[in-house]
Amino acid sequence: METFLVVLLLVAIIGAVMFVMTRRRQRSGGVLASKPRTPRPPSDGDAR
Amino acid sequence: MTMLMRAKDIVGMVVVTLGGDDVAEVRDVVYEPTGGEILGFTLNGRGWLAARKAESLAWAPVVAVGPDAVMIRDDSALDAPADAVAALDEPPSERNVLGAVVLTDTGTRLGTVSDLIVAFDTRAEVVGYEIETAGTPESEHGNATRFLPRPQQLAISGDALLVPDEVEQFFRDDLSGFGAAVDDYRALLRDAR
Repeated sequence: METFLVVLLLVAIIGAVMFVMTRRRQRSGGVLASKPRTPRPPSDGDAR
Repeated sequence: MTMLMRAKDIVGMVVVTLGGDDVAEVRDVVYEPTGGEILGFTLNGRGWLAARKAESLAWAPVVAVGPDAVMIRDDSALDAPADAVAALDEPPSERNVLGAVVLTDTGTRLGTVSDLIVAFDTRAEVVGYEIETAGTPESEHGNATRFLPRPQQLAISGDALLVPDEVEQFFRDDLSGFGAAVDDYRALLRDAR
């Protein structure tokens, strides 16, 4: 019973640490350069 | 009056309405690399563990950017993704320029991007790059960090910025001389036309 509780506690701690690390990584930002705009392909309407 | 600010100082900045509610934090600064225009921001929720927000903040509804907060009129400024600027709908997360290597078109490595310099007045524009020059011939000048005006001819991949060779002469050691360097570089471009 004690062993089970210790394992459960360890799993809970590891899970909490992984959750915090994942959330911190998701929150970390940066400075993003937008992609060059690709020109719209000409349609039949443009030719008129 | 034009105010210069580092882009990294904007990341993590709180977004506050004129009613006093803090509604989000800035996650990414998204800009257009050729014209330098700031397109807007992606957002995190408030709080240490809050998730990334689906909404983004385009530049147009921003009332002001101060040293401590981005001010908006009310939370209707936070667009649902479908209504926001296209680059904010799908943020180009693989094109983070922080840490990118800066190369001239003649193959000289100038350093790596450690930050971007943003000028705010009626609009927001990236005017230059802060470059870590460690390990390059530029580091012989004694300064590990130097400032480079934003070139108009610029190619960006996920790992590198390719700049024209002539921008190297406009390197500055500090921000006090940087405004003049940007003006000089733009004058050179005008004369070249």
